[in-house]
Order: sequence, then structure tokens, then C-alpha cells
Amino acid sequence: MNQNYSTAAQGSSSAIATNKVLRSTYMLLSLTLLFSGLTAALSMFMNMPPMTYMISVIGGMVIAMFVLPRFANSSAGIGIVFLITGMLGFGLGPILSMYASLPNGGNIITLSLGGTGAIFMGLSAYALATRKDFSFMGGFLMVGFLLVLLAALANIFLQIPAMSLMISAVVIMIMSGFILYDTSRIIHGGETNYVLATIGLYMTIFNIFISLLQILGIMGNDD
Amino acid sequence: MNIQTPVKPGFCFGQKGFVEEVIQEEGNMDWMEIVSALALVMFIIILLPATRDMMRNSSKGTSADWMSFVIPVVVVFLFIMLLVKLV
Repeated sequence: MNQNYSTAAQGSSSAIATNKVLRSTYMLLSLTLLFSGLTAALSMFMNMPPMTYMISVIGGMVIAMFVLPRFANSSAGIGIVFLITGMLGFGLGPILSMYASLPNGGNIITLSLGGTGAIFMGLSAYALATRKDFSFMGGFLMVGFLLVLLAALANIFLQIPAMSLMISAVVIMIMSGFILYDTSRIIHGGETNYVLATIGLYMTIFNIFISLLQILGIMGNDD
Repeated sequence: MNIQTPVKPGFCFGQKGFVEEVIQEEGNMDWMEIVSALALVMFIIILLPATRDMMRNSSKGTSADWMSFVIPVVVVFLFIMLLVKLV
């Protein structure tokens, strides 16, 4: 009887901890997305040159891969997440300015933003509602992502627009899988650090948005 | 087993699509292509060991598990087709 009570209490405390990670992740994710929006607007307002995009994204990724993991368990980790997401948002500014200058640019940006939001919320709701364990997809998604990176590397030299379109579509599919995988990891206690969980989900949203912009930009471009 | 997932890189390079076309309009694309290629090679090298670990340690999914992944991805694909029609 005591043992049953103890097991139930442990299960309950674990569920509370998981809910806390989930709540903190979504809270930090919302704030970082807002902050990215602000830095993107600032970058548009400052009329930054297009190369800002590449410099900001590479800088942000280097910090995310090498600096963030060392500080993920301290309060400095939150500051670093804002630094990374701010840089990524700032880098998006010139690209958004160029899309906005197109005849249907506003429409492309609005559809990409709305589409990204709908995909993220729909898949998160699916993972949360079904509470299914998607941990089996980890290896498959990482291999898929590596293959896409290799294809992108090849396309720098091949320069085939159709391949670019295909890569963007595959990135969205793989990132959709990552939303399910990352959310399921939080639900099942595989990810207990909300700073790392936030940057993981943020990168999926960023990648979906940029890929959707590419697809809609190519398909909506009459030239 | 708790497998640490590496941070996914921002996917924005090497796509000869609209984003890079608009950058190219400004010139300086040669060195930017070289930087993009180097960044991609760096990301691939960093992700390779983590991918190998995840391949070894991931649990195996049943066909029902895979269907629960395929169905939402198909819905996402149809949704993108709808967005393309709308643009």
C-alpha cells in the first residue's frame, strides 16, 4: 500500500516537472519569437545590407552550437538564447525587406508567417493530444537532415532552382517531424532543460519559415 | 535512454532559390557562396557523431508508430500546396 502510494507520488511529481518544463519552454519560445520580430523590424528599419543575413545566421548558429550548451543550466543560458534569436531575427530583416518590395511580397510574408504558425501549433497540439512517444524518429530525422545539408552543399555548385524547391519542401517535412519529436521528448521527460528545448523548437520554426518563404517566393514569382 | 539532440542549424544556405537570388543582386556572391559552403561543411561535421549516436540508440518504431508520423506530415504537405495556390 505504501509502495503504491510512493509510486503514485513519484509519477505525480514527474508529471508536474514535465508540465513545468513544457510551460517554461512555451513561455520562453513566445518571448524569443517576439524578440526576433522586434530585431527583424529594427534591421528592416535600419536598411541593413543582404549579407547581414548570412553573417547573423552563421554567428547565431556558432553561438548556439558551441556556447549555449555550456551555459544551458545557468541563468546566463536565457540571455544567450535571446542573443541567438535576436541575431537570427536581425538577419531576417534584409530578406523580409526584399520580399516586401515585390508586387505580392506582403502576401508571401503573411502566408509564410501564418503557415509557419499553423504548422507549429497544429503539430504541437497533435503531439500534446496524442501523447505519443516519437523518440523512434530521432535517427531517421537526423539522417534526413544531414542528407538535406549535403544536397544543399551540392546545390551551391550545381545551382539548380528545382533542387532548391525540393530541398525547401523536404526541410519543412523534416522540421515537422522534429516538432513532433522535440515536443514528445519534453512530454516524456527526455528533455528537462527548457533553454535547450526552446532553442530546438525555435530552430524548427525558423527553418520552416525560411523554407516556406523560399517556396512561396519561387512559386509566386512570375518572372 | 536519454539521447541529447544537437542544436539544429538554421537552414538557409546552398539553396539556389529566391533568398539567395535576392542576395546575389547585391553582388559579392562568390565569397558568400564559399562562406555558405564552409558553414554547411562545419554543420555536417558537427552533426555527424550525434547522428551516429542517435541512429544506434533510437528505439525502433512499429508500422503504427510510423503511420502516426506520416499522416500529419502528409497533412502539412497538403497545407503547403494550399498556400502555394493562395500566393
